[in-house]
Amino acid sequence: MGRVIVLTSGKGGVGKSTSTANLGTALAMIGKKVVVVDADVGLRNLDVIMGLEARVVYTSMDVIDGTCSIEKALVKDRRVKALNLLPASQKNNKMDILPEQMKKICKELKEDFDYVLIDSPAGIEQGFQNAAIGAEEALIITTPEISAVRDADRIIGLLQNMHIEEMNLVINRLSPQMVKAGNMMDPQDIIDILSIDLIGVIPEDPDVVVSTNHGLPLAYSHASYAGEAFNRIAQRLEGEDVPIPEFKSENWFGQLMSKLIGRN
Amino acid sequence: MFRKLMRLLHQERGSKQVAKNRLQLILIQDRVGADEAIMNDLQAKLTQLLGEYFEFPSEGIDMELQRDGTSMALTASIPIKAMKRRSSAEQ
Repeated sequence: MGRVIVLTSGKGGVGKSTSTANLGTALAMIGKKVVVVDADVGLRNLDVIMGLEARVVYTSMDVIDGTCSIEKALVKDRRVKALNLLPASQKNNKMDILPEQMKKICKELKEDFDYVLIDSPAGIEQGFQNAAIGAEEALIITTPEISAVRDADRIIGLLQNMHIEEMNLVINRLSPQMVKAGNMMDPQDIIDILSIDLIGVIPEDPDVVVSTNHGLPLAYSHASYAGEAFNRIAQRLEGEDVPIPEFKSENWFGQLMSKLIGRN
Repeated sequence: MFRKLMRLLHQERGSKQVAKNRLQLILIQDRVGADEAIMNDLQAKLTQLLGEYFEFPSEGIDMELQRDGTSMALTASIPIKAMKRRSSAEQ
């Protein structure tokens, strides 16, 4: 029986789909059977980020309609063995899927896979509810910005109401330089506020845009900061004790020295 | 160089502290707003506690969260009808 994990954030644009694609890739590369589910019906993107858009034939809507089996709707990644995508329908909208139908899909998928990662749409409406209903665990994705952390707090409350107790935090797009300079909240600041466990910090990395352009998740190549951060999260999900690198602001003396010497 | 030094010395702790402070206040309001039960529960407990000392008119305690710039206050208006006599056992 596999684990069903929803990746959610409340706020849009913080990196849910990128995180889902990379974590899925990272887990599959360490030998796990993985399916990533795009729950953003009507605004699907996970297929593009993973470079699988040309091979999408069926979607979760077709599975619900009874047009095809789940197995048939899955797009199998040819580069990473055991990585699969269940695409979302682009021509329907979020109200066309009922929570019960989504729950059933999750239940079926976890019979066959070690990990079912669900990419939630932004917002707190039915799309989010559908994405979370079949999950037993959640990864909360946020960035070190007030608006993103505020929305994450709201989402944590909603997930608690849905009795999802196992929640871990992923801080995405952290700029080590800005944290050092005291101009960006550091991981400890965010944990203090949200009071949930941190499972990883993804540094801001221009390679993310490049990899999305190519449609190949960064975790695949083991050659970037962000990709390696996702690979470490995969190991932590597997229960390995991999330390999280520290990002802290320097004290005034450190800042003074940095500025005087001109290093960043 | 001198100007850089001065700017640095005058610089406050960095904008992250401002962000954190603002966020903490926002979340107090959000969390209370999202869960009506919190205020109701607090109101019931306060009424019970204060009821050991005072008698209230029927409308009871009125509470609200107020934000004043960089700080937040919980204000309660507690109308009192009479003071209860403390029993000898408590003295």
